[in-house]
Amino acid sequence: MNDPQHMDDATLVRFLSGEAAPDEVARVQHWLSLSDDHRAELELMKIVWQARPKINADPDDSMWRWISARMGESPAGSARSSQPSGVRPSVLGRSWRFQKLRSYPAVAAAGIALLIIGGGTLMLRRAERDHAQPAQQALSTMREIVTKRGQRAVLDLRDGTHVVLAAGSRLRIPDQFGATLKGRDLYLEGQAFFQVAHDTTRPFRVITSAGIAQDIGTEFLVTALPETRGLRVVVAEGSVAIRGRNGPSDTSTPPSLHGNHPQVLTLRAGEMGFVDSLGLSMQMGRVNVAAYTSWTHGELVYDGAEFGDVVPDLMRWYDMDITLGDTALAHRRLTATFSDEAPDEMIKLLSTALDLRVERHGRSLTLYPRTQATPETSADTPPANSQPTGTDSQRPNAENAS
Amino acid sequence: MNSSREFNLPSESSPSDSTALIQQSWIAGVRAGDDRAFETMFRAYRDDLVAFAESLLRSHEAAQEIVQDLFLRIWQMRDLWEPRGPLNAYLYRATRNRAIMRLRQQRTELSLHEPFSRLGPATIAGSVADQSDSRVQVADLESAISQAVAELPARCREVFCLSRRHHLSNAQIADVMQISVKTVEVQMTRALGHLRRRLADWRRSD
Repeated sequence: MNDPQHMDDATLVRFLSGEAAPDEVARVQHWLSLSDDHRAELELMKIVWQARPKINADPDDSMWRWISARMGESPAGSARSSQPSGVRPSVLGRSWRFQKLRSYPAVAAAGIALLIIGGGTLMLRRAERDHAQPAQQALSTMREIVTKRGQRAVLDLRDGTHVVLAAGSRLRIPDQFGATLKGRDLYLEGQAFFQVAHDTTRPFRVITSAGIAQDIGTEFLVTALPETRGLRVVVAEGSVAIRGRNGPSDTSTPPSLHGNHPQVLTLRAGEMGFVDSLGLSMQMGRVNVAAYTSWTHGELVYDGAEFGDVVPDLMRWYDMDITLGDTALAHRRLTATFSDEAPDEMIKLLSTALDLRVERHGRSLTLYPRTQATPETSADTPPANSQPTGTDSQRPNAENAS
Repeated sequence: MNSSREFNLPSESSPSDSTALIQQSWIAGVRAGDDRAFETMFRAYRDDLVAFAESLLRSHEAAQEIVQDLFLRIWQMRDLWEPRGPLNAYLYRATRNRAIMRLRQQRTELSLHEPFSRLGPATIAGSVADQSDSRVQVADLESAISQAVAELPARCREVFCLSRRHHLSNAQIADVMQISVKTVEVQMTRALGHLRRRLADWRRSD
């Protein structure tokens, strides 16, 4: 540093950017005076520091033509045509529909941009505080976004956070979300993927009935579905702190991850954490994140998952009721990827993969093992004691690692 | 298509108050449904955003799609559009988020934090010096620079490009990439150190 022949990178960066302090400028000038080589190096770095000439990214103006052709139309067709060929838009297959935003002044007030994937209309309403909130808080009103089965919603919140809300989920957003310097709290039932605009001064938290996830980094999945029986958090990038909501005293004071809560677990990228439904115990482990977040871009991926865990997902995604004619089916292992199949295709895929016989009545399916000649022979498999559609509690341990 | 229409582009050298005013007027215009303001804004940022998205996605077409999609979305959501902070930082941030989502969509194994050096030309001046005949001489300075930049680790390269190619301030880069200003400074220093070493090789071989 004190060697006049040496010019450190940090000072030179500031000098080149015109941000150097006067004494730094003097030091650079002295360094230049010592050698022609130094001057040549600086000249070279000045060239490096200059921007390259701008290239025209779109010489035939096709981008503007693409946009202007769609500016008048309702948003429905545009998203589809923007998809690269070969990438089909949605697991739901049937139709894409964007909600017309202007019909929801409530959304406008909350500063949320919203996109709905899947059929039907999205439920959006104002939730008063007497609603069974996972946590009561001083804020009186919230916006509520509810996806039905067969729907996903993509939201851009006011603070820059990007949310993909899964089918059959409910997200509550306080009116003041992102508007104040206080923390940013969201309330979730169901499943959502968050890409958070990180801001250490305004902690971002997702509150569920079992526990709380606080963003320390950027991207994570929160699952609080009925069959989850607790809170499950999978971190894609950065880190997230989770803790249980221990006890009813929590509802009187706003929950905080700071302070004297010893029961905080910090998850890093590639890790999954689980809080039980009572908010008491926690566990964590490493997972294949892609398998958990694939639904955000329209794929359900299973790698040796127990079929009993898969059934609730399929019911939500395809908006179907699925019953297992033999509870032993719940323990079969499934490795499959569902991307954009129509329900018929999905059923065919499933019956092939698991060797099933399917009885279908409209949107109701009953599945039987095909290899089993008569129901009586099922006696040689031990009877499963779990509900066919409620076995997700095992999921945190089933790491899909195989 | 309509290059005859000239507008006040944001001044590159000095992000001054007038730039902020222009940006504010574009935002207000778009929110009010003024398609001319929208087109102006699009044209002002198109090239930079496509170049930025392309550097992340390594595909010109994918970059174009992301950017045109973003702008169409802004237009469709214009009633609700409230970009936080300076417009250019907002647009870079939105482009970056979309690029990351797209990368995840493609499920490429390519991590954003992985060095891209293996993607660049395999040989640079000096590295095969013992075979003087086949020694690859990087002829012009321009390609020597872009090669050296391509060798930077991805995150470092992204910081450097946002700063030197896209004229974002350190605070804006920190905002776009969700990192601290200190980290931006560290990455810029690291980038310069690498470029100095690499281009010293180039100068000596010249």
